[in-house]
Amino acid sequence: MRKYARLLPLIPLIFFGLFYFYPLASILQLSFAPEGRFELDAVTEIFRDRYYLSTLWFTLWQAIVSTVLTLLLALPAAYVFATYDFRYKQTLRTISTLPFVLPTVVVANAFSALIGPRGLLNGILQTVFRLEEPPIDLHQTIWMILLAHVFYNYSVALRIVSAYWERINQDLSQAAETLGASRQQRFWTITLPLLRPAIMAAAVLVFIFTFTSFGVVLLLGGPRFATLEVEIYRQAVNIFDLPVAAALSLFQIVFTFALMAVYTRTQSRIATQPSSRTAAARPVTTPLDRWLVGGNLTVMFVLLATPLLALVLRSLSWTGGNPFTYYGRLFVNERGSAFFVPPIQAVGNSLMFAGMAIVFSLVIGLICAYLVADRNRWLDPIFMLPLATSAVTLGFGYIIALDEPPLNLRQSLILIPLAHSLVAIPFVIRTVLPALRAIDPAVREAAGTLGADPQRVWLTIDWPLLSRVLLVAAVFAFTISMGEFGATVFIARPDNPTMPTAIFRFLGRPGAVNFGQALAMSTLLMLVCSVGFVLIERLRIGDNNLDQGEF
Amino acid sequence: MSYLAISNIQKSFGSTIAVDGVSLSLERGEIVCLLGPSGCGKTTLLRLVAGLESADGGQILLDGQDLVDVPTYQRGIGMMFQSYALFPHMTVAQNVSYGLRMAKEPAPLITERVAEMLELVDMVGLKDRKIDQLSGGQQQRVALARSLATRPGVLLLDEPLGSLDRLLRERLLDELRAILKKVGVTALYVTHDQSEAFGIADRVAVMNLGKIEQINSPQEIYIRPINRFVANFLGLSNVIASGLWLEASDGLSQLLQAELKSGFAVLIPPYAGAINKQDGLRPIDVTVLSYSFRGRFALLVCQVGEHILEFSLDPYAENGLMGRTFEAGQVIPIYLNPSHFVELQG
Repeated sequence: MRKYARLLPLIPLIFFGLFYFYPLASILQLSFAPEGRFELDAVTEIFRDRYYLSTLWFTLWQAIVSTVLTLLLALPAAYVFATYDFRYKQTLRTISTLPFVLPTVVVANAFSALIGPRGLLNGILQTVFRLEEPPIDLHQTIWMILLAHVFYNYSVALRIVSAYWERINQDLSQAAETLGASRQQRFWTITLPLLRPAIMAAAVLVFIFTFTSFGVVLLLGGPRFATLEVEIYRQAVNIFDLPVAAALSLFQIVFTFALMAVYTRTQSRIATQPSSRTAAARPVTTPLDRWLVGGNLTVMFVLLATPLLALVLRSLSWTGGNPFTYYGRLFVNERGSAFFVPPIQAVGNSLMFAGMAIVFSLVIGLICAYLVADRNRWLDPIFMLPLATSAVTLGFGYIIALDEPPLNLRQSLILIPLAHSLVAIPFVIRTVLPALRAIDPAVREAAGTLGADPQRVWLTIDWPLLSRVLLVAAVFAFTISMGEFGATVFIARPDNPTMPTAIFRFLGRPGAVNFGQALAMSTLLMLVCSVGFVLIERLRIGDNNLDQGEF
Repeated sequence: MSYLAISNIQKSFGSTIAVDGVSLSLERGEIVCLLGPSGCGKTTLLRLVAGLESADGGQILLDGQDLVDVPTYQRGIGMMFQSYALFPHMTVAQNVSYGLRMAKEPAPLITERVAEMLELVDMVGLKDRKIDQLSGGQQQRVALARSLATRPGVLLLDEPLGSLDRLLRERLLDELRAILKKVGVTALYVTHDQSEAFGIADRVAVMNLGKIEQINSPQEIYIRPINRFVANFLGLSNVIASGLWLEASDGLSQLLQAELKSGFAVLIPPYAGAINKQDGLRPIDVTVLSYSFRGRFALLVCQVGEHILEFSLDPYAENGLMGRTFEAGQVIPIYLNPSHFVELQG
């Protein structure tokens, strides 16, 4: 048994080698040597062709604008959450992070359902004012994309900045006060400079998320807008220009790695903030207080809640008859539809893939966590690499690397859960590691002196102490797998759709019924992920270690 | 008229009375220490003077001017925080100059004043250091320099040595007092540590439950504590309640009945006992409970009648304790000096 235990570290190493580094190496090879010998044509073409340059430019500026908009909305809210005490504050803060677990296809559809041409708002306005045409025409405009990005990242920025703001030592501001600084002077000379690392970290993270945005842009942007991610997908799937797709992926890899390195640096700066005497949140008393708190909560509600409500409402049929018509249609295998199977099978597929992803990512992630905790810190950034790799790049790497001997898995269903596991493993490690590090080695040694062999030590000490975080990690893996779109859209076969890919294909078809079914499926997916979210939050209550576990 | 005059100041947090009608006056240049257990209101009183808390009632006059409606940043006070509250995003010099910059002093004057302050606290070479590159003792000096740079009328110090280890604390204490006296600033100093209070203060105010129990010089407070709380807080533990010695017939009670006129509780300080017979000392027989050598003194815990007494004996006195030990249960004579006895009010 001991002998085999020593071989355990090989599992993550082989896994990462085959399903991470090998596909990436294939992308490299395809960019620089598509015909087997070295050439730079594909890479240089990107610089020569105006189209690719403009794609690059668009990717960049939409990320910058999204980041700035997100911060503009989230910073006042961070101030309100850090400074004031009001009812349901913690609950609101928790709920505000729900978007983080929602799949991009769901979010994209939620915005379509709210302000799209067939959306709730247009529907209401058309009925009220008897209009022929939908008055709000944001369909396939940059605004839809920006709104969805702000929706996604608002809570990320809010959480990072407000948590940091709350922990700023209250003495500092008071010391400035005793030294003669007025309220304004204190804000500009003390609070704002001290907040800078947190604002930077939030900005970099939001930038990373929006720079690598795929589902939102693909679904909401229409043919006019393409980020690098979307362009990789189009080149690979629609145009079938694999060398260009590979070259674009290479850019994406370089960009995201660089951004991730920047983020790691800013993040480590805010993680070392000493815990200190913090301000007691003050009650809402003056009219200004009420205006600030009320205003920010309204923004939060409009931004975060209305799209999801609209999604649920628009997924129901309002023309009379059964309101669940679109849900019912999911069970029917229609002739000439996008599928060869009843769409509801996508739910079964997703659940099956998620189950496999849980097993893979937990086993591998746990071994990784032990390796990192056991004096192998240097492995940590390597295991985090999937976090810095866009899902689209990964999916593309899979279809070019794993569809030919020596490793032909293209026809095998296993490729999907493997990709999902790879995306989930960093989250599993981040969740498990703090709990693992919190186990005092002396406790294991004590068990040893009391006669427990290594397996018994693990079963009686580690397992009970880790079981709860493993459950959290499992739910993380589950929600990630359920919502994963970027990689899956490359590797899922038409007769084996997952929920997100099914939604995507519904949207590719015309007609109200397909749109309704897309919304119905999105609602189901949202519910599943929300349940996962509630479970995660429930399990994490009272476990402060886990609070920093996310990123 | 006193330089800082606090009269009948009042502060409650919800139903908890933190400061209960305290009056206190400081002369110009005087160092007064607020000493008391945690929760006694000493820090709240300090923060009321700073304006970081607003008083429910009472008056604070600084040089004749009422401070109650003046916001903190216009009060012209200096404050040292227990955490030092040094600005982590600024250098040493930027920290020290902060108050001067807020006052919009001209740049040459600021430079000059910063140099002067750093010299005062012996930190001249370190002006461009970041705060996290300083040791605890160095941070304490920067905090002091920063709070003195604006020439505040009053300096408020909230346990400024509290986060340092014991050895460093002792050394910095003398240095701190020397600097405060050199500058001549009026200072209000909060601590729960008796030796720190005695080391720094001209006068010590012992606080309990939001009130000042006693205020006087360290020596007066120690040899004449006013009541049981002050005595106990100063570590003077042999307090015998009035009912316990008026009627009893043991040796100690008889001695007290003979020596004292009133019927109050009485403190027998640990230094009031000796092992050797001397003129003017009154012997009583005690039963040893424990005896241990503690370095500067030897601690004897013993029993007389119902009373348990502790004595710190001088092990270095001639023909004294060197080489001797006492076993529990042994009965020995102890010689008491009645002139050290203190009658307590309540």
